[in-house]
Amino acid sequence: MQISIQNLSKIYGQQKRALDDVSLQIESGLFGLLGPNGAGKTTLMRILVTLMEPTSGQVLVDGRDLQHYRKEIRAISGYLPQGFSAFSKIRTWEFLDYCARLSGLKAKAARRDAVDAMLEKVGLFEARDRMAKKLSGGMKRRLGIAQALIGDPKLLIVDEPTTGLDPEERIRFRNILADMGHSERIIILSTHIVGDISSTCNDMALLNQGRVGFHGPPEQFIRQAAGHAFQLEVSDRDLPRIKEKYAVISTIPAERGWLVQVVANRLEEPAGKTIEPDLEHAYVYFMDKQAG
Amino acid sequence: MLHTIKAIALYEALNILRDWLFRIFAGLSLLIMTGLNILFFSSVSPVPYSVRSISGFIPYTNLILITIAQTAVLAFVATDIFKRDRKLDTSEVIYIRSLGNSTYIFAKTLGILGVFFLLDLLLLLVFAVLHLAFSKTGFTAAPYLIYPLVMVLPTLVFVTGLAFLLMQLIRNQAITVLLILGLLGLNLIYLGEKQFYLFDFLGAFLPLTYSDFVGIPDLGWLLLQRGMYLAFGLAFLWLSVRLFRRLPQSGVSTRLAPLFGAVLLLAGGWVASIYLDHFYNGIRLREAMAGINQRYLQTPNLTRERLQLTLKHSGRRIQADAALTLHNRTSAPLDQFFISLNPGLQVTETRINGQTVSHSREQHLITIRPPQAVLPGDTLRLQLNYAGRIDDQACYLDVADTTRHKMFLIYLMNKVAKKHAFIEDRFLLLTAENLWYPRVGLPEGAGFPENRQGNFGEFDLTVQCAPGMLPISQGEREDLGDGRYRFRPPYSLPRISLVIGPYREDRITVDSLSYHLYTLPSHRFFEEYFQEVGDTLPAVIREARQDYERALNLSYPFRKLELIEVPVQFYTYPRIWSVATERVQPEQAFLPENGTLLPGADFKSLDRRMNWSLDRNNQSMTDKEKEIIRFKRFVESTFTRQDALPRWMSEFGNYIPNCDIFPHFYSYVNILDSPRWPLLNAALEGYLYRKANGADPGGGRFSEGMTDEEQVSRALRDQTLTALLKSPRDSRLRTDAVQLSGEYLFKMLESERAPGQVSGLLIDLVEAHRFSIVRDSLLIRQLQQQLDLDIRPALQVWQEGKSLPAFKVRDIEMYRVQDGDRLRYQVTFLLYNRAEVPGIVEIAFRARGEGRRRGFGDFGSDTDLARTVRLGAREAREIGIVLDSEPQMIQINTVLAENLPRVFTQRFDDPETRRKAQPFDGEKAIAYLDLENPGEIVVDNEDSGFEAYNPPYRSWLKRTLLGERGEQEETYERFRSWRPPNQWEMIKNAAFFGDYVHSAHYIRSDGGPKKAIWTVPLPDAGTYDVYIYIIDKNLLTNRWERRNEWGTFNYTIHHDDGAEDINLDADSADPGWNLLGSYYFSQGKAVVELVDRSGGKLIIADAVKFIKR
Repeated sequence: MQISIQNLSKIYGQQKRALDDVSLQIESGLFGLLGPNGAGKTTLMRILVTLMEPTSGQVLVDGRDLQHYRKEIRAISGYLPQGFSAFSKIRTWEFLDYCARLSGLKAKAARRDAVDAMLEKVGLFEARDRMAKKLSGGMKRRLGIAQALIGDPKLLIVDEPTTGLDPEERIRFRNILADMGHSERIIILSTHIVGDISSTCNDMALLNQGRVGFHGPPEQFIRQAAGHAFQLEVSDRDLPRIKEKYAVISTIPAERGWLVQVVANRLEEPAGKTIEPDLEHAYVYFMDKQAG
Repeated sequence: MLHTIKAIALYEALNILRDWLFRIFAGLSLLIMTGLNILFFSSVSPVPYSVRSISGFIPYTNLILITIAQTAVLAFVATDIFKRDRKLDTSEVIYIRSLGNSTYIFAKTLGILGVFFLLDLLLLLVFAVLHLAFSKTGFTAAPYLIYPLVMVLPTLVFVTGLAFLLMQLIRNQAITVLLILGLLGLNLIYLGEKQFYLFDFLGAFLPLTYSDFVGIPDLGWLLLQRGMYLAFGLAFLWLSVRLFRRLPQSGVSTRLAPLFGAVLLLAGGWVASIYLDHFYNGIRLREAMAGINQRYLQTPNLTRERLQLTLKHSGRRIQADAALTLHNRTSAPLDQFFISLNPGLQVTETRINGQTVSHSREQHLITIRPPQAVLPGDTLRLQLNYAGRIDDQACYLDVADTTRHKMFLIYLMNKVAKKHAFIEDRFLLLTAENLWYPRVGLPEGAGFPENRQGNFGEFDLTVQCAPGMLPISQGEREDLGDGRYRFRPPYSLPRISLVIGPYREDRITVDSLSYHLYTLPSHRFFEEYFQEVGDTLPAVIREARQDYERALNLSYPFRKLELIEVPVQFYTYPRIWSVATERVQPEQAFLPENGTLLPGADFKSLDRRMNWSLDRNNQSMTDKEKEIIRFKRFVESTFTRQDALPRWMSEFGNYIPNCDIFPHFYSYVNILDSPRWPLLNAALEGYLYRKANGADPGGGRFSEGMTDEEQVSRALRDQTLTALLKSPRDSRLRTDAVQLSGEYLFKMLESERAPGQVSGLLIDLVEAHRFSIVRDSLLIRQLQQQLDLDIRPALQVWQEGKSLPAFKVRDIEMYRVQDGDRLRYQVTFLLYNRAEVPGIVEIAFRARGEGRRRGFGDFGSDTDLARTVRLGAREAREIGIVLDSEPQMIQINTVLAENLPRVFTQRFDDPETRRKAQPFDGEKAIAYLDLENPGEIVVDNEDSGFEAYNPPYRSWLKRTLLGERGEQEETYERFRSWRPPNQWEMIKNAAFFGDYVHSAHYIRSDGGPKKAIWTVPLPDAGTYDVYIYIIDKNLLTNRWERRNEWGTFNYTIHHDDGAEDINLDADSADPGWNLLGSYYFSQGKAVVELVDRSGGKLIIADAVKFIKR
């Protein structure tokens, strides 16, 4: 399966350019879409799930234009929107059953099995009879992924799924996604949380101000930051100056002050040492560079 | 796709079922409606019988109520779906599913409709169970199936479509709901009736009452209206699909949805135009027919002597062969003649004396040219073959369209179609008004008041009908076999009628007169009330007949009397030219289905009142005695003395089927033909009718507005009777005018001779000429010869005169007087007639302790007529009447005069005893001028010097809906002390000051800056005592109304030294003239003002009086 995004632009009203000539090739597997808030990720996601039309450009899904094959593409899509939390008066299993029906599962017994299996998979089986609106934030998000997955969609689009989740839920969620990513399907995970991508995605793009800043495997993205990630120990007195001068990734209390990780083109502090960058370092480095 | 639709519909349904608003609605519906059903429809219900008399009323009434409430709830629920879609981020995961927008919208619609419709069905099921369990009204399943489909479903689709569309356009739930609720309110209070119910999207105004005889008549037309709303609802849904804010999945939503929407809108509009055309075609047809009648009014024609008719009833058509024997009674040869036949019946062949002739037809009028002219005195035989249906709209050309199109309502809820003829598979009802057989000449009454065209003739009717059906017509029914029956009435008749139905017949013969009752076999609700009376029935019937015959002094002329149950939809209008309506035919009276709307058929209510009265008086009665009372009450209230509904109630669509059997005694057996005084026949009929019905010597409730008689008097004040009858005034007024002026004419004639002489002669004449026409010359001659009375001048004045008498009553006194060795009661008063024409008054007394009906089984009048007094023009008399028992009240009925109230009443206080007074029983002439009071200057509210200005103001909403208030006719309203008007209104009461019109103006306190002003012309300067007239509050109000304080009336007197404000406590002021003070006034005009603020409930402005010192 393949998605080809070609010169996609979206302009809201007269001025606001949410997407600016975005072109991407996405292959099967977990694809991470990284970018700060307002970068245009959600706009891109909404175009991909046919909730919105682009101003220009086109999207081909397995060679078929998204604008002309909505029915077919919707039939293979699953979607978890950014804020998936508000429900009408419906039980957990009923909601999933409704989604299962809409995704084409007709036979009652098969549907029941599929719903139960999915609930089991996302760890909601115990909560199947609870009203959906009464679930916790994490459970709701899990229900969200369950509804997105229920018809075994070939294209799964997940927008900011881990925002607001506690670490345990977040890890659990990442694991579910990772499990899904093995089969012949595309999962597009949009996030501004670097950790989501580093732990799951085999391909990624970085979107900033509506443009693609980077597209490639996460390792390649990380490599861009090699030699630019540093760790140094600073005193209380120096810490404000360091924060002012460098993009600080982390600040950990140490014996004689603070252990600080920063990214920079060049470190002008004598005590600092180069460390192996991770995705977070690479992202901050990238954004810092973009900001000039 | 079906799978997806089902999924979405079920999901929506689930959401609605869990919605609290819906749950509350459903729960309350179930609770309230169950309670209401038990209260209304159970056999122990205290509500009037008519509410539950028709089996279809239970589902009908319930569904009307539910539809109204449901529409309001639906507006919330349907709009909430889109609000929820917009609000919930979770709906996006549904939007990205592979489903079309049309699928989504229609599936949601289905979900909503499913839930509401299922709730309705569930409620109907509950009602059906209650119906079977509690109600004694027979159960018919059809209405339970028809109403949800016809009434509820189109409304649900329309409202859902409208809610969806508005939500897409406005995107605001509150505004959308408000708009729909506004439309609902508008439907209920204003639009529902307009344009033949076109705007009634609820279907709550459509005449959908179901009859066990014929189902819902004209259902086809009503379905068009329902179809229109269904089409509009679907159109709105398709337009919602187009406007739905989700990227469409296929071309259906973008290209086809607006196309479907437009096509459905056009289809709805087209259906609406067909629907409206049907009614407007009726209006045009009637206009055309009336025009034709006008053209042919003076055309001489043949007269029918005999009609032989063979009629076949098959399905929803009739087929007939008619043979008429026609006679030229004119003095000239006729080369053409004409007959009338309902325009819905097609003539296939016309033959004269066996030879086919051509005919021409304009609507109802068929003109035939015989091969050679018909010479005077010649007879010919015309044969006519025709077939078809009756066009109901061709009936009642004399009834204004506005009256025809008014609703026929049974207790507010149940709207009934007005039908004048029925030709259905299992039922047929045809009366002369339908022109179902060829009528020689124009329809009856076409030429009224100049010419009525009545005639008697011989009839011979053969009917072919389906097995199991029983035909009923005039004359004995001869069974010819094979479903054929023949009727040959043994007397000449003015008309015949035909009813065919699956009837059960009960028959009883008393004194050689056979009484028949025809009902549907399942409509025997009355049987349980008459279990014991069996062997006594002949005696009871005999007594009832004798009572009526005695009151009228005329005998029943036919050999049988048939009471026939007919569909509730059969509707008759009163005629101007006759008391007879189509509900009563020679030998027959048509009773409404199950006795609906007949006050006397409400045996339950009667029993309740009877038992209450018995308990109160500590009396008891056997079951048989109770049954006799039931029977008598039914007969009396159904066939005699039928009270007309108050005008406001009939305005509102209420109706009492008029089964008065009076027409059997005169209207269908006598015609008094008078070319010179064409109203004479109707006058005599009116006189006899009012006599038979014991026209009220009393005056009705004193707080009522104008009585029918008073409206007639008002209308005849300044125009002739003929002019009034030709005017476009409402038909009830004109009908009353004929009757009342007829009564007046003959009472005037009676008053010229000893009591009973004139009426005796009239009765003899009527009896001697049954089933034939009497010429006026015979009546005039007999009166002249036998009583030396020339009535011609009186007839001329009566028909063409423009003024009425006006009586003034003064100085009424009542005291005990010694008459020999007895103490009796002397009443004296002065009476004078201020007009230039003579008149009569009738004086009656109500004895003390006779305030209410005396008991059950006693139907005597409460008030006994004591004397009729005739007064010439400007004549005055002192009247003395001596009574044996103490009178409580005097009632002076001015019959037909300018007086208001028409019946002047005065209560008497405890009398003093005047030992020295001589009893005086008689009349003394006194000088007319003695009665004036020189030196008094009075300005009454009726005088030109009085002004109570009402600005022609209406609120914005009323102006928009109803237009500006036009010039209104001066009328007297009902006195409503609990809710006085905010404009000055006139009320009348004998206790108000007045010369012969005793009236006052009144208004709500603080109604606005509206003053009443008396401008008093003063011939000389000087000091005057200024009086104001205050009515006795006790005489105007009842015990409950008296609790409302009137407050302080504030008068301002403008005199030479300025203005003086005088406050008068209206609650405690002495009744009559109250002195406000003495002031100096210059010559000219003095002004007294009354502001509309009293601190109490209302203000009354009556009269001021100035007396020079």
